[in-house]
Amino acid sequence: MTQPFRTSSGGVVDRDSVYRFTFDGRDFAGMRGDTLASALLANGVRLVGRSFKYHRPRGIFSIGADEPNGLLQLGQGPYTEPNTRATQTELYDDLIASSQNHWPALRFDLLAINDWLSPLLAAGFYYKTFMWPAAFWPGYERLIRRAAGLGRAPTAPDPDQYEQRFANCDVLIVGAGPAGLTAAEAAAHAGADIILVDDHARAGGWLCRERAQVGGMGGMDWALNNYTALSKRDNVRVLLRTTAFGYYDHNLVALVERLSDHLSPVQRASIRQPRQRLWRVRARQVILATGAQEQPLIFGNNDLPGIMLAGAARGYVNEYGVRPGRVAVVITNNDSAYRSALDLHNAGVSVVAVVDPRSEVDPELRAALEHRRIRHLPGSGVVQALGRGLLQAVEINAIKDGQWQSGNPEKIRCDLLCVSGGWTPNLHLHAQSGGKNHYDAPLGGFVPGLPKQANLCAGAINGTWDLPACLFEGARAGAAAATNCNYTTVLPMPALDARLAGTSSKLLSVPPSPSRHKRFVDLQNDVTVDDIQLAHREGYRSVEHVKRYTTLGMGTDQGKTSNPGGLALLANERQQPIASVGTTTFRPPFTPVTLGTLAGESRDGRLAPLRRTPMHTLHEKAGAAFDYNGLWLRPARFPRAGEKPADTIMRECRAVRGAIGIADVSSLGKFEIRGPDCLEFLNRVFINSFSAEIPGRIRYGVMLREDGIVLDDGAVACLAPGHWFLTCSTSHAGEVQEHLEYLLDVLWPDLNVHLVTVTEQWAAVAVAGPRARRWLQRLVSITDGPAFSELAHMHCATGTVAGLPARILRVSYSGEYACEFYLRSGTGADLWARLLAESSGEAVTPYGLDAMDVLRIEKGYIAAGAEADGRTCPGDLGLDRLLKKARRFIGEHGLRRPALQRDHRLQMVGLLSVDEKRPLREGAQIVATKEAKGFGAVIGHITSAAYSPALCRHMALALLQRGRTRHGETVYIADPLRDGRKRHAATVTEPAFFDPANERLK
Amino acid sequence: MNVAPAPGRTGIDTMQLIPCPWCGPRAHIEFRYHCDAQALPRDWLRETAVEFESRTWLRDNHIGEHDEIWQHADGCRGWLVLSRNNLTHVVAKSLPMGPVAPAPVP
Repeated sequence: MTQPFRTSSGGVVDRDSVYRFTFDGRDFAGMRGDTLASALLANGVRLVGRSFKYHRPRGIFSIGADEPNGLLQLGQGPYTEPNTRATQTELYDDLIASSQNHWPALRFDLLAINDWLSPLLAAGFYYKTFMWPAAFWPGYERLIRRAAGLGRAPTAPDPDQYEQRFANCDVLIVGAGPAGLTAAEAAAHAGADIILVDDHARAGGWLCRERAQVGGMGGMDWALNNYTALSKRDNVRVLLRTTAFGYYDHNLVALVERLSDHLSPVQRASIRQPRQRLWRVRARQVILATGAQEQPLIFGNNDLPGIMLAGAARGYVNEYGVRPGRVAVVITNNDSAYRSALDLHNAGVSVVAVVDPRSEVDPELRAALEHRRIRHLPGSGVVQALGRGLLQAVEINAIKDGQWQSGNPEKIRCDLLCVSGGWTPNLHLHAQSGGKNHYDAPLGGFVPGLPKQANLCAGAINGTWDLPACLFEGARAGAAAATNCNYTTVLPMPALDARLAGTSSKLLSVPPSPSRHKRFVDLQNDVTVDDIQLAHREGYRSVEHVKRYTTLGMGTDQGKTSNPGGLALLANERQQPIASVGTTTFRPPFTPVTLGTLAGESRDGRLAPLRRTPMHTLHEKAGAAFDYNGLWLRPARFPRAGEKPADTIMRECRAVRGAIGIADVSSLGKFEIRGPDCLEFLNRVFINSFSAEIPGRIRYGVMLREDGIVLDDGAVACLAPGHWFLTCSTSHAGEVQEHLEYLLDVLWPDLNVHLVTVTEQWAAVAVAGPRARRWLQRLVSITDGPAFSELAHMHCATGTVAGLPARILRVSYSGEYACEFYLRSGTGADLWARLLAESSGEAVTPYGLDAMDVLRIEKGYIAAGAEADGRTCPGDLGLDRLLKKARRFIGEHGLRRPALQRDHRLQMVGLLSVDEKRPLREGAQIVATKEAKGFGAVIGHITSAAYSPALCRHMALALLQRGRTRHGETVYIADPLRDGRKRHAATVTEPAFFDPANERLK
Repeated sequence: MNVAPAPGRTGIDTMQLIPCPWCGPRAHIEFRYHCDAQALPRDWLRETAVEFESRTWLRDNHIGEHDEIWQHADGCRGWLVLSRNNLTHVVAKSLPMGPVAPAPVP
């Protein structure tokens, strides 16, 4: 368990705290402070995965969020997570990781045959190679999908906890590198409320990875000091291990904070805090100090394990004390990678050569190499890398005037190749916010342009590579942001003395080397130079099309190390400058965010608020089966022991038709309407005419939307002059409330009417059945009128029921003699219990939603959502007899539209199955003849269906073309999903099956 | 007829801020869009079918500043006219509607 590639000193790792972990079943040791990537490298593990398409061996390529190769499966069982970046996974004790995308094993992957089959798998192969025979495609697709893809998703529910927080601040600073830290200090000093976030475990950004000097001390120490000082301030919140992944409208930035991903399972269990936390931060000002991203170079076999970004290589040495190889070659087109050569050399890596396509190089850098006896090869480039499974050598050739020279390449043996194709600013958040970007020719990359929102950019995101300049830009941005938030800023802050060698920046575009080996542009999605060229040859010009055709930059790394290279290649093919090719759209998230974090607490029972009636506990005790009705949980049935659902429904229906049933209807929408203009208001809202305010009278009312479509129906009771009580459907209560509020507040503010929703304030119980009248006479007394026995259908009164004060409404949704009692919601459960207790001598049966539905279908009463489905007008539902003539009402003009007058509209009818044993089902289609086929043949559909215990046969309500003229006709029911090609006959009837004369209501 | 509950709020759904004339700036998910302000009748009681048709279906669909009727549904339930740029999402102003004009929020 030695770590042969660990240096004896240096870096942030704690050499006294050893963590054990397993990778692909083998035990390894790492140190506190390591990432999984650095620990694997310290143990000499070079091969960590297989590539997406060709299953080529891959190793750690980078050191941060940009990692395209080192994607591992972490953890086990329900905790497992695929595609985690080893470079961002902090090591903990007992970490379990495994490699992905190979069969049967990482070292021996039979699927690597794809590498040989690659001519079949070029860009767009989905649409070309596997087209014949067409019938085989499903099989091909299954194989392709199994062979591609990376890790395996967990199959069990996520056992982790997640939470979400909202925050406001004056200044949000993204990135705690040199610019971010000075920005935070400047803004904090001015007194602004600040949130500073960084996705790394420690502050400092690239200062953690460089041997820089800042303010007379090491860069890492300076960052730590600054971080400590900032954390102590009351007006600063520093969030480490936190990624700002999305920048949305009105300066909303989404963060994901990883609270316990870096802890061992034992520690996680003991601290009991959520795994991750989603922050929605609304900031008055945002400072983006997101730095820059190093780009690779393109040559043959540029994906071999052992090839690494030059910045990453010195990062592993400086931050983690890990040598990423023994014998190194550096290939770079810019000065920054010279630092890698020097730092690797200092750490004891044998750096044999620095290859640079530029012929002119800073003499200071040349001297530094010479001093360390490192070969310098200016005017050269790497043609290809060689090795079987691991890097073994590189071939170097000369480049002159941007052209590769012919001639025998020189072969240099090495096991580490540090590549640097220059740095591009991390524009993601700036671009997500709507900010512009533009191509900076001297820099050779895109930099932020005008922001769209209140944000500033500081440091390397602007293409500022020089360390003192970054520190200064940060301080300036921090002060400017504080000033924009109306804080007084004191500037200039003392300029910091800072040193970091080799920061010249002029990037040189290097043409891909001539090599017969694969030259990768996108390592994660296996996109090669040939793919881009092929796409261009096939006519894909736009960068967005090339991206989609080749999948360039569409991996989980979002092309952080591939998009700039791909753009340069496309520009070259189009023979246009990069600036005119443009960039692809930057979309959130910056790095993948686990779905659990986005869901947060909104899962399982907390997905939506649940509404329960005041009698809910009693229903539960009675063993009721519940169902959702909107957000309400309502009793659907009250089964007895051993009863099947259908039997319960039959029993409950028979009780209502033959004796007494009671139902909890507390969820109905309820409104109090008061004021001198009530009558006018109701006349404008409802299609029916309200001629006078007669206390004690109830009207059935239908309201329309402005376009003439039925919105809802309900009972409208006049309690007193200027005082009305309105009930509506449970599921439409919210919509009706918004509609009525809109009418009163926006359309008719001149009407003196006050509307209050009292759905929660009133509980309601319906009592129905032929024997209810006599039973209720014992229980009900009326205080504001004649005796209860005199109260007729569609009349209301105030009084008591079973001793409890209530509004008494003689309305019926079952077709039987019925009464609804509305009472204070706090007394609802009491009434329910008293009614059941008073049932001695009478068979009083509680009935639920299911029975209620059967009873109303038998009567042909419409239900919101079924017959009133948002497409039907009063005429379609047989309600046009209610339409008043003289006065204006909502929906009047809409209703007169010719389309709503045509006689071939769908009209509500009843249907009876000709074969009495054959059920009719909601959603089934209706055709005119047994042979009719296709969508064009459909003349209607079933909206509600049930078995009728009163008729002893199956019945349904349906919407049928010219339905009202078809009574008595036979139509055919087509239900292809459930019945296949079978059709069965049904007879069209009036939509009232039971007691059409309404004798029983009275 | 019975439907499962609507999904709760997840993810990044609080993007824009709408200034409520009564409550101050709030996340847009507290508000419900009702209609285009062009769709309001000039004189509801006396309007003709032609006027109704034109305000309801023959509206301009232009780019730029746009007046919309919103309700602060998960808040004070007040109504407002929001002048919003449908290209930049910048809110120019938010005015109260209804019988009682509120005191402006400081």
